[in-house]
This record gives sequence, structure tokens and C-alpha cells, in this order.
Amino acid sequence: MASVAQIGLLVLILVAYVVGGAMTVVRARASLRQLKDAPGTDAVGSRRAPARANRISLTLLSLGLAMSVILLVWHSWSSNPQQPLQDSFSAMLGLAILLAGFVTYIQWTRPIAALEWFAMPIVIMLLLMAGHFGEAAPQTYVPSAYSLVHRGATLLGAVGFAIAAACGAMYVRSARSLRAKRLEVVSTFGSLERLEHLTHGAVTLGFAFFTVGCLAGIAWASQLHDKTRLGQHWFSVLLASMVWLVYAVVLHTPITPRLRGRRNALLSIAGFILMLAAIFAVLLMPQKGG
Amino acid sequence: MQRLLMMGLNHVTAPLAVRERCAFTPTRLREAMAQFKQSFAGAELVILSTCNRVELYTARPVHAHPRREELLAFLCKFHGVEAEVLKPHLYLKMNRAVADHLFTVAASLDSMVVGETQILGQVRDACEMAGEAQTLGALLNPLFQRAIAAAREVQSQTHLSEGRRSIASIAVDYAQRIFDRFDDKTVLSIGAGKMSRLVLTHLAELQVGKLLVTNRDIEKATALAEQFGGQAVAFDQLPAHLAAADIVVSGTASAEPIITRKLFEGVLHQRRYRPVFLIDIALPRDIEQAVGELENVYLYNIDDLQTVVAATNTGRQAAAEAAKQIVIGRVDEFVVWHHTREAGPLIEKLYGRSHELAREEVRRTLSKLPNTTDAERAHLEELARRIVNKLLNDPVQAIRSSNAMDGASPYLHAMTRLFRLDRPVPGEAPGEAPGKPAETPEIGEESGLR
Repeated sequence: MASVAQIGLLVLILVAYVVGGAMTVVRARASLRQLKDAPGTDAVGSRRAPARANRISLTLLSLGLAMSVILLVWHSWSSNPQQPLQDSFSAMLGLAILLAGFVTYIQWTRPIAALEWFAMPIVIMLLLMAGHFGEAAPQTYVPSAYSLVHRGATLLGAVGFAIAAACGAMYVRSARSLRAKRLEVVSTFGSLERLEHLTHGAVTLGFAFFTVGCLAGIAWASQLHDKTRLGQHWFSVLLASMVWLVYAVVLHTPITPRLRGRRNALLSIAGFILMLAAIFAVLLMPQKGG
Repeated sequence: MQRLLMMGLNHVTAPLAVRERCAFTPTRLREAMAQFKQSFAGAELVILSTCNRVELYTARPVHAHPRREELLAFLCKFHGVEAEVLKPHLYLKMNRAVADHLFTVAASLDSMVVGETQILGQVRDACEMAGEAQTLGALLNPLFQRAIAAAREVQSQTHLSEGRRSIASIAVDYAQRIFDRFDDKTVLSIGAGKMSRLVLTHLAELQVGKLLVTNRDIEKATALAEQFGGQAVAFDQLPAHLAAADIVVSGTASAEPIITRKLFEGVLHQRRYRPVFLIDIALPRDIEQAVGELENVYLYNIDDLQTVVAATNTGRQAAAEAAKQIVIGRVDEFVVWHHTREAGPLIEKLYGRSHELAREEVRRTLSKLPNTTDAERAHLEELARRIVNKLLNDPVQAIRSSNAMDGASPYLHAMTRLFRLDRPVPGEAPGEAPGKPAETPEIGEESGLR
């Protein structure tokens, strides 16, 4: 269970992410203004505004990430150092760290201007979920390698799907703007090709982890003494199966090219919504554990 | 006396679909000039046909043809378009308003992308083409030459055209929003005209993997391909080239679309639905609008790109204002020149005839007074001369100080009629034949058709 101090740190992380997100809006507006006032115009405006906003946003993003890692270590150390990610608080926090880490990495290396707008809301939602479920008692699990692999691999899969969903949403938005021939698309988003590659790469990795996680879950369930308790999981198992199927379809794009582009992006978003539903189904299960 | 008349439509008054129905390809332009010359002998014509506008500039003697209805009928008949279809999109300008409009157009103040420099070349080409067709005369030639000179002055003395983003650069921006890398991409240019060259110049900066150029005239395609290190390919294998291309630049002079939805559905299937960027810079359009509705197809025509370009560079008010001042000044100069050209000889004629009349009357009076001295004779002649000057002073001043092109026209006409200045006198060349009433509704009219 998360302590009050840990919840306080969580709030600080949220503030850093929200303010950082606001700075990305400032950055986008300044970029658009700069695009409109091309060189040689009479308009007077600071040409350094987007760069300054970008620096502040990246600093806050990195600060939030560093605080998240500290919080995860602190929480795991104070609860059970031998078994990290054992409760929902650390699981949600871990998920948020991986996703925010991906965003930070991309933005430091080869930035995609509006990536934060699509990925950071998921991070913030995960942190809020961590805050909410952190108040509850941790789930108890039979100490088993399968349970660890199941939780770890599924979480990594979920991170992959979250990245795919964020990139997919950007793809859909960008494709729509391109079709509507709007000006802002010139300055705001990364290219469709890159977003498609990122989506496909994230789905490929996420699918691999998720499949391993599901198989580990089946193996773990088969070890349970009380087989009747398996019935309680039917809904999450059903949702997980749907998630698996959706992403299996997404991965088949090379042989069904009609799915490529916007349809693929929409499927990635739908898959992640199902994934979130599956996570909720697990979190809201009776807290007795297997 | 001469009248200026202009009829046209542009990107503001008419959508692309209407503009492309009225567009003149170079061949059609020559045909139109020849037909006009045959129908309206003695009238002048310059046709300015660009992707943004189609405008017919005419000059004719005051009672001659074409009138506005005849000009409309000519335009409609030539393009096979019903007048009712065109009327809502047309504008009509006369006399000074024509000069105002042409100077503004040439200075790129009326362009969709204010400050773009291409329009000046297009105005110059239109003027040259009219010269070749011998439909350029004593009024339109100086009008266009002065408009071109004023536009050059705007370009050199204001910042209107500096740092402006072009259609080609915006097309490249869009390409970068669709594709991440270009070394594995194929660009296909259909057509080998100026605009295609311009777009390819910008696309070449992206270092594309392969460039294909196709054109009905393979020699032109080869020349353009060689310039950019590409490969000229046969036009009759267009579907195969389209399937291979990721970026297509189309700028032919074809009157009909060369890429239809049906054709492109097959192409898209062949290319396994990989995204494709189509840039249609032709007018009439080369690519059917419906092609852009297909999945993973991003189609941009000339209007789409110009709209984006026009939305950029918003902070040019000061430059535009300076350009407007130059244009106003040069139009005024033209109008004064025109006025002097029209009114000068007429005023001279009026004074000459009146003094001649006065001298004749003085002679007649003196013949009845045999005892007049030389001094008295001189006084009488001076008296008659002064009376003529005083009588003519006010009307002549009114003509000189009136709004030169529009305001002076009825005065000049009235003066010609009242003083019978059009009547040939012995030793003078015959003037314009009187008879028909002046076209009063035309005076100062800006737009009569809408």
C-alpha cells in the first residue's frame, strides 16, 4: 500500500507532466505562428519561443520520469524488495514509467512534435489509477515464476500497445488533417510513414510480450489448487483473447494491405481500449488472489 | 476615343471546376485570338489565362464592338459553356477600373498568394501572345507595358516577394508529413513544363531514390529527366509508372483528366495500398477529384497548395501597402497619359477652329469698315481672340481637371458632338463617325454581370 508521502510524490509527478504538456501546446502554437510569419515578413515575434518551450517541456518530462523511478524504487523497497511489481500501485507506476520513458527517449533523440499529446494522457491516466488503487490493499499472489512472468510480460505488452495506440491516434489525426489540407499539419506531426513504423514496431514487440504473458498466465492458472476460482477470471480472459486477436490482425497487414494506414491505426487504438478494459477487469477482481 | 473593357473570373469568384472550363491552353489561346480578330475587326484583345484567373482585356473605339454582351457571348461560345453558368462568377470592369485591375494583378496584389512573382511572367506572356496574334494595339500595348513596369517596380522597391514560401516548397512540406525517408521513394513527373520543373527542383532537395519523367513529347521528358538525373519513360505505360511512384507531380496541358478514379483504384491495388502523394498543378486538372477520396491517397491540387501558401506570410501589410501606393501612382500616370492622348488633339482642334471662325468674322466685319487703321484692326483681332479664349477656358479646364479616364469621357464626347469636331475639314484626316449614342451605363462601371 502506498504511503501518504508516496502519494504526495505521485502528485508532484502529475504536476510535472501536466505543466510539461502545457508547454508542448505553447511550443506548437509558437511553431505555427513562426510558420505563418515566414522570413522577410514585417511581423515581429520571437523566433526562439518554440525552442524555449521545447526545452522546458523536455526538462519537466525528464524530471517527472526521474521522480517516477524514485517512487517505484521507494515503494518496492518499502513494501517487498524481493518481489517488485507485486501490487497494482507499482504495476501501474511501472507501466507509466515505461511509456513516459519511451516518449522522453523519442523526444530527446528524434522528436515527434505532438507525441506528448497522445502518449502523456495515457501516462497520467495510469498514474491516477496507481494513486487510486494504491490506497487499496495489495493483491496477494502465489509466489510463482509463472505469476512473475505473467505480470511482467503482460505489462511490457501493455506498454507496447499503449505506444501503438498513441502513434495510431496520431496517425489518424495526421491523416485527417492531411486530407482536410489544414495548415497546422505542416508543422505539428511526424510523418505518416514514421508513425506507421512506430505503430507496427510497438505492436510487434507488445504482441510478443503479451503472448508470453498470456501463456505464462495459462500455465500459472493450471497450477492453481482451487480450479473453481478460475471462473472469476472469465471476463478478463475473454478481453485478453480479444486483445490478442485484434493485434494478430494488425500484424497481418503485410499480407492484407487493404488494412494498412488509417484502418491499422484504428485497430491499434481499439486493441488498447480492450487492453485497458482487461486491466480494469483484473484490478477490480475480488482481492483474494490465487 | 477608345474604351477599355475587361471581363473575367478568378480564384475568388469562381471555383476550380468553373475556372478549368474557361481556361485557355496555348493552342486554344491562339484559336481564340484568331476568332476574335475575325469577329471584331479593329478591336484589341489580350487574354490572361493562368491557374487562378481567366481575363479578357479589350480596347475598342467608342461606338465599335465588342460590347460586354458580345464579349460574354464570345467567351461562352468559344468554351461551349452556357452564359448562365458563367455569369455568377464573372466580373466586368471598364475604363479606369480596367487599368486599376491590371496593374494590381501584375503587381501580384490580387493573387491568391500575394507577392508571388509568377504572375508577372504570365502577364508578359499574354501580352506577347497578343502581339504575335496582332490583337495588340495603341491602347492595350501601353497599358500592359506600363502594368509590367509598375509590377517590376513593386518587386524591386518593396519586400512583398521576399522570403515567400512557394507552392513547390509547401508541396515538399506535405511530402515530409507523409513520408519519413525519400531515398527509397520514386517520384513521377507527368508533364515537363515550367511548374513541373519548379516542383522537381524542390523535391530534388529531398534526395529521392528514383525520378521518372513522362510526357507525350518524349524529348521534353528526356531533357527534364536529364536535368535532375532521372529517367524518361513512355507515356503510354502510365499505369505501370503510377504503381511504382510514391510521389506524382502532374502538370500537363491536357483538357481532360489523365488519372481517373477507376484507373487509380487498379494502381492502388497494384502498389498494395502504400500511401501515395499526388500533386496536381495543372489547369484544367489532370487528376480527378474523386481519386483523393481513395484510402492512403493524398491529392493536392493547385488551389489546395495556394490556400496554404496564402495562409502563411501574414505579416506583410506594410509591404502590401507600399505596393498599393506604387500601383495607384502608376495607374494615375497611365490615365493622365491616356487623357492627354485623347483630349490634347481635340482641345487643340477646338481652339484652332474657334480662332479660325473668329478671324473669319473679324475679316468679314473689317471688310464693311474701310477706314479702320492698322491699330484698330489689331485691337479687333485681339478682342475676337480673347473672347474665344474666355469662352473656351471653362469647358477646357473642366476637361483637363476631370477624372481622366472615366470623368472626361462624356465631356470629350459631348465636345466632339457639340462643336462638330468629328466633321472633316479640308486638309484634315476624317475622324470617328458620329451617330450612335454614348454608352452611358458603361461609365465607371466596375461590375455589371453579377
